[in-house]
Amino acid sequence: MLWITRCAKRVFLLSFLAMLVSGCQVFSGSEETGDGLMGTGDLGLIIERATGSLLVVNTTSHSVINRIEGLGDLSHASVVYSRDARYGFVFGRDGGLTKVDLLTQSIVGRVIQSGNSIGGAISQDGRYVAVSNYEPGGVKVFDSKTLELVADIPATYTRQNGETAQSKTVGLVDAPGNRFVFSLFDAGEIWILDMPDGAENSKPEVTRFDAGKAPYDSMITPDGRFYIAGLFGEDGLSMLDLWDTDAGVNEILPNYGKGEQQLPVYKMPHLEGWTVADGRAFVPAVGHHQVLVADMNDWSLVDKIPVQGQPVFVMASPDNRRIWVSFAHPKNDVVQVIDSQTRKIIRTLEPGKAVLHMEFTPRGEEVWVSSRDSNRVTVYNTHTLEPVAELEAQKPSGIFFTSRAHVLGL
Amino acid sequence: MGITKEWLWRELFLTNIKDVFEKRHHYIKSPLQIHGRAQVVKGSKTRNARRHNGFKGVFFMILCAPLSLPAGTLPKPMSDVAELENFVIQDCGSCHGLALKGGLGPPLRPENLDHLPEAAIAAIIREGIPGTAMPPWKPLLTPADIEWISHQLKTGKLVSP
Repeated sequence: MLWITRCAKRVFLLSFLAMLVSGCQVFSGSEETGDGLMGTGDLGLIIERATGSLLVVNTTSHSVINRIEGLGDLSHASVVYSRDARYGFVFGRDGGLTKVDLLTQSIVGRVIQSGNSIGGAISQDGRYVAVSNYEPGGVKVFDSKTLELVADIPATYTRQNGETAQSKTVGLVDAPGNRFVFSLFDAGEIWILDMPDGAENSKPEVTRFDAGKAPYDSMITPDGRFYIAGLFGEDGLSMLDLWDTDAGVNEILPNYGKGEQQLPVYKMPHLEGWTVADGRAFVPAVGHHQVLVADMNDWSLVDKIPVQGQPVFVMASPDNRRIWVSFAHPKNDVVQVIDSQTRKIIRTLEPGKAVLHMEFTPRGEEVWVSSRDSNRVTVYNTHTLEPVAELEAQKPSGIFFTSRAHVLGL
Repeated sequence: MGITKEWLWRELFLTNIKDVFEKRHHYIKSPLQIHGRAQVVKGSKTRNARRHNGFKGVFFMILCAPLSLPAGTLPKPMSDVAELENFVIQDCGSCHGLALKGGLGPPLRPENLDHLPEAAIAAIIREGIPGTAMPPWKPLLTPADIEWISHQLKTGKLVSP
């Protein structure tokens, strides 16, 4: 019975403190639907990177439902969702793969599957969750229900001096045909992993392609056709047409920085969130204060939009009308909004210090922006570009909504 | 680099101290003695011979004494210490992990930095490692900031056990 008093004390203390501090969130518990049931379609997760915790949020009410703790090192964490949008699979920096239940706001499975990992993906049929690892370099695939290891693909390659080594893997995405595609940072290769179709003794198959130097991240088009890897070792991007893999990997936007002095890169751009708008693709340049625009028909460089810093995320709102850009240290206190038709910057917003991530609500009427050093997440209306809500969060980084459950490549 | 306080301190005062300890010139008894000597002593026309700085020099030095002591003691960083600590954990941590256990970049815990003297760590931070993802931080951090960070990393002050 002691736990009741302890619980009551904590609830009382919490609400008392909540009253004292203005503008903070009181955990609202489940939504008032009358029947006590809750859907997950308007829910999401916000990573609190320093404390190894997650906030479960509701995008309709702009509120925090609960905090889930115990996820280890979330220095660079990302999330994919199960097919039923109920479970989030969190990939943590320490190699932890955690399955969280959004309805009960609890951890339902956790495995430390490597020494160091960067991200992951869920297969087209939702049966497999793959994790891309730095240490040991390679990809591991797990059953999404039980988190049992299904496949272990070490990213072995041969160095120039003849030694074999395992490369860091990056840019892991799911692709049609129940495949996974990823890049090898140290090897400069792109691999396709075909998952077994469930028949007896069928094994995962790997196809290897040579790509450009040091692919650091990748994206896939919403239709799952083009896999594009940004290159750190050269100016250009590597592209693999999954409808025509025999053609191999082609380089697009080569020498985009030609003639310009490359600046030191303080944070790698992130290519998640393929940005196609008005028949063009928008990607961050590496080491330049620019967003590059490519024509999707022939992949020629159409424009370089000057922005106020080195871009990290370049994302289009779901209606593709505007492109939102976040930046690397040190100029990372602002977000710039570009009109996709005119390709001009229409607004520079200041959501707070050290903006890390942006996420659009499912139909894009609002966007949530995390400011790590201001300990808050700001919600903007994407039409008026005005802030409409603020939530407190401890060192927030990634924001992931459940709408990702039904998008190829996310 | 220009004539900064640190430069003056180093060139004038430290030079004098060094001269005294090395007993380079027989006429120098104390670094603060009033008179200097304009000519170099016979036989010491080497590149290490230098003019001993007399009262004028010493007075000037004391006037221009930098607030922080030169190498040997831990330099006070120019930026706010809390901000710098946050920077190392969060921004360096983006590649090296928030617990400095590594990521795109190698782990930076004291046991991983065993083989590197602080000066080497500082040089890496300052100049970066060309051809890799480690950029030069000298455009953004002052030398004092870099020295402070190197010291903190080497002694493990920023990592919790």
